[in-house]
Amino acid sequence: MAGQPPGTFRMHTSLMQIMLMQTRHRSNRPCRLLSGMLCTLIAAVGCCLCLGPAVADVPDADARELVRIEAAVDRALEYLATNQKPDGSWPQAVSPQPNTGIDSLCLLAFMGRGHVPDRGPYRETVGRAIDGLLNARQPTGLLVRKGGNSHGPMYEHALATLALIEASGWTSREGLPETCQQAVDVIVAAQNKEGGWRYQPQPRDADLSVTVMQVVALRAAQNARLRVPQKTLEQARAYVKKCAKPKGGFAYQPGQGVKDAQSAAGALCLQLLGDYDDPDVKLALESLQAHDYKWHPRVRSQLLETQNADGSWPGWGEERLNGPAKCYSTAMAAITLEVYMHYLPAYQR
Amino acid sequence: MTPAQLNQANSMLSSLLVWLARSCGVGHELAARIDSVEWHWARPDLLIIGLLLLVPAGWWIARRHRERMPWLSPRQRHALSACRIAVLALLVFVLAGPSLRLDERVEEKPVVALIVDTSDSMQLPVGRLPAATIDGVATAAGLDPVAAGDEAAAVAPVEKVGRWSRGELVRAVLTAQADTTLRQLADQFDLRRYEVARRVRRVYDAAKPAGGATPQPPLDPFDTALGVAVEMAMDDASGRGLAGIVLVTDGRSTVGIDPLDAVRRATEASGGQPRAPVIAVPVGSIDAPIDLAVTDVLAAPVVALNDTVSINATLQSSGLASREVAVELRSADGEVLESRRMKLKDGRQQVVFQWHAKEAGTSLLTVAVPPAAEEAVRENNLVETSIIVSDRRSKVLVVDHAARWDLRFIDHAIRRDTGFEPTVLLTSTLASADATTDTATAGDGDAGAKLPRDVEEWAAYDLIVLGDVPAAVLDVARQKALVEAVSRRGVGLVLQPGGEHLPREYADAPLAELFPVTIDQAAGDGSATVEAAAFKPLRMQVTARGAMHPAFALSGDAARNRSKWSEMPPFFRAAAATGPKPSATVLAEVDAPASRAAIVLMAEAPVGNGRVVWIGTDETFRWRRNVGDSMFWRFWGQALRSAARRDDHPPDANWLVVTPDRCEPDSPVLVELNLVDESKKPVEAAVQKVALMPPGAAAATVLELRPAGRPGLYAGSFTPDSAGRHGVRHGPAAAGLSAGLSAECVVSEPSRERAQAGVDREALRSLADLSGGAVIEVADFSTIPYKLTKTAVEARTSLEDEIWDTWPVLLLLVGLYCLDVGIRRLSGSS
Repeated sequence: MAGQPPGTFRMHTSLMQIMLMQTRHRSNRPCRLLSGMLCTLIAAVGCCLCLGPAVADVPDADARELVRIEAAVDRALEYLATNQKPDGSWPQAVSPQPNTGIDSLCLLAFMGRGHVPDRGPYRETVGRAIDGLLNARQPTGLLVRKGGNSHGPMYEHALATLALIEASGWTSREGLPETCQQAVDVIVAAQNKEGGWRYQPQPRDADLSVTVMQVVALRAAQNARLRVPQKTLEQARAYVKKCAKPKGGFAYQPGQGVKDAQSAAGALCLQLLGDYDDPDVKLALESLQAHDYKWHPRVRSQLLETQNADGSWPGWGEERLNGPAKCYSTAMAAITLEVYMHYLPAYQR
Repeated sequence: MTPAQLNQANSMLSSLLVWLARSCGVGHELAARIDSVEWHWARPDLLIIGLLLLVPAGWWIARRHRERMPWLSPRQRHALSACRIAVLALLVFVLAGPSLRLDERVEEKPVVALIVDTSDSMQLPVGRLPAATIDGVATAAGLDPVAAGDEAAAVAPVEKVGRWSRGELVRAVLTAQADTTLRQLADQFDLRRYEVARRVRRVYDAAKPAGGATPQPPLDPFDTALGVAVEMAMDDASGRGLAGIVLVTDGRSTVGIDPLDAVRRATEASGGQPRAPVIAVPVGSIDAPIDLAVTDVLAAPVVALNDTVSINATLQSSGLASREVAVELRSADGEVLESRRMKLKDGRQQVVFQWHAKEAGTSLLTVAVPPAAEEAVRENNLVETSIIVSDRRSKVLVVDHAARWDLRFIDHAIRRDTGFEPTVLLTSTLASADATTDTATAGDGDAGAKLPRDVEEWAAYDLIVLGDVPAAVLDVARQKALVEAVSRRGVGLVLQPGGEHLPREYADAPLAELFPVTIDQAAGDGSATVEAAAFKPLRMQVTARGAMHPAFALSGDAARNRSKWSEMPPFFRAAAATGPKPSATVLAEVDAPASRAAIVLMAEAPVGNGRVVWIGTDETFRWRRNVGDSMFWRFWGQALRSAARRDDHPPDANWLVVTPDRCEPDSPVLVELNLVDESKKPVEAAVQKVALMPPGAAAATVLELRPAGRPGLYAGSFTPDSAGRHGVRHGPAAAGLSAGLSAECVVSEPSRERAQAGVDREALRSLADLSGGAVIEVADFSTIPYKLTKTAVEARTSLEDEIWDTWPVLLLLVGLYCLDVGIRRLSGSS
């Protein structure tokens, strides 16, 4: 993350950090609260997966709260459907061309609510989004349009791979299985010697932030029974373990200090790689819960209270990424709330 | 005329009209509602002509009588002429068609439903009421008001009300308000009263404090069906104005539809407008009572022998924060298997125990926490759960063409379930030229798995789960082998069709023999599927028989199971299964869109020695909503186990099984009997009888079992209505058995009502908000009539009735005739 130029597609600010900031300072800047929403997703899903201690709070929302959550998500999806472009993409300001990362997040927001291809009220919306992602495929297998990425394409590629693999469980579109496999092969080929990934699809350096996205995509690929070499997963595990700190938590890169966002990412990586009982997972979760034990209901309340009347959510400091419509922030908020649905197979235990 | 005389005249006129109306056949009630009466002639022209002709006719009659009957006195003659003229006048009257038009004024009072909770939780103490409301509650309950400054007297109602149960407080309030608030409600509205516990009962003397002169027996108090009561009140008032629903309760609904859902459905049905405001009257203290409860225990229903399984208990506490307690896991004989100390905090907490399954069979476990001295309810400090320990593992082959979401979730869950040895095979990953090569990508133990070719290869598995596999891959030879493996070798088969291959490509294929349903191949433009409209998804409805099936086992109450499973999230596509085959049992169905008949969603049928289960949708992943695997795998795990080949109940042996073996009163129990003779051939008969032995009953009753799909298998059901051990026995004489067969079902009353002691004010608030109603405290009970705003509807209707064919006209005619004859007789004229 260090050295990343301003204005690029960054999704690193930790929910945990922000929740902590809010707890300590109670500032009047709600925009700061949810600015790192991808990590919100990672943390939310990660912590839900990890509820295995002997004594823990009940994670699921009660029935009445769930009705509110679903209503909020439904309004968000209506907003996204309204703002979808004819080519299946969504407006954004991350890149000059349609950005497959944003499009994938929007697609995942629909599928996370159970709106799957070829059935239901959003069949056209979801179908256009899948076609759009398929059309973005490069000859190399990279799922990023030319001029449609930010600092580096691997975030977008991992998100698009994840979205297409999840969609492949529902549709027999021509070329979809091959595209998914090719996208996985790109990820496999881009793994560096340490076992991690970085912004570019070449095996050079690595960081945990990009790595967690690739691991989620590989997990989805495993679920879909695509070819994922065991060696790739072992090396990824080794890299994540290198980022773990002895006293708990994970660093952005080996040798650096602990960051809450990376702790969530590291814990999630190890869980998705099957190491649910790894001591580093337990330590990382303990360190996160020590900051704010009841963060999850607070995130939920914050999202429910800050939704706009049109179903969208504000950008929380990342308005510049939204562009003419608030699709990015809306998709992220919807995905965060959809953790209660337990629908996306990639995140199952 | 003086005003008094005018009133008297009006009254007489009104009475005359009412008399006339009643003479015309109008009933008492209707006559009392008559607003105005108008006289009409059907043929006024005939009336005028008749009256005009009546003058010369009258003159002519009088003249003839004077000329022809000179011996009569003038008085007799005039009377006789008058009779004849009157008869002619009556004829004119009848020919003119006189009729009365009655304008009826109908005032239709809107309905108010008063629903009173009479469940077991209403026997809990009211608890301490806030000082600010105690006077109001005491007044509402008919206790003497406290004089200002009289502190000693102020204590009395506080203590008295505090000692009461919630039910006693409700009775006191209804008694005290009978002549005021209830009477006012009855005057303004059509007051309808209901009592709700597990069932709902209409009370027909709504304004009386006890709901009528004859006390009714309690309604199975171990549950509260608030949502059902709300629905019933709304249904009863259909076609009428419903001013409101007054709900007097502690807010705990433990069975049936959620009251919020009932209100939501009614709102949807009435175009987005709330059907009626719900006025919720919470009964009980605002403060949660001091209580510690084990509210829930989650554990896998079936585990493998020597497994270590997690038993997840949820505790709910209030008023005991920071206290340390020991939560214990106990065996059936009371031995403490594990104890965990934990510090309480207000709200919900979870405790996870690890339990080692050492013995095969059913293990009854109890999670208990010792009650604190100051606890309001002590019955909720323990919860029992039973776990079946299986000493065998079922080999399962899951075959699908693509990794559909259901398969992705099943794939993970089945690997965690130690009762299965799964192999998952995606036919899309098989080499296109030779379907026997392995799945090169699996890398998780399934590499080398092959799609079976012959009976032996299929029969190597106890269960096959077949998804949306193309018929080109599952060729005819393989299908025939599978049919043979199921029917002869007892292999279980679960079919989960999709939208592309199964069942569309198997219309005339051998595999179709195994379908427990008939398929409409033309549905969905030839895809043999039914698709829901965009915003009107399909909803699963579990049948009464399905609620008894092991796949849907959840609690000991079949109705509760049925309700819970029928609340699963809706979905969009199902296979077009239009009906069950003769041997099949329908477990669940959906109301199909566009006026089609109901679609069979799930069905089961015995096929030879095997069992086939049909699961007609690939969207069961939606059951993960908010709870993850707990409902999803509960269903799938139980469905797979029920279908898999079983050594304990083979078709060539005698056995008697009851399902479930533990349940609640009034929950149906399925009895299955398999009979073979000494040469292991099935015993075939039109009916088999088993004896039912309820606990404490002197004599057994007979239950008839009917053939259930394959020779030798019989099934029937009974509904135990009391707690205890209900035995089922089949005597040896019936089939020449060396020994009788027996089974039993343990029936116990649930303790859900007291699981949580507090009043659920949040639920009542939500209900009031959603319906546009309000929450009214007991102290403000008398304000309820003023919260209900819907006024009576006045309707006018007209009733027109001819009056010539009424008894006064007949009487007049007979009178005239008699008078005429009498005069003639007396005068000697005839």
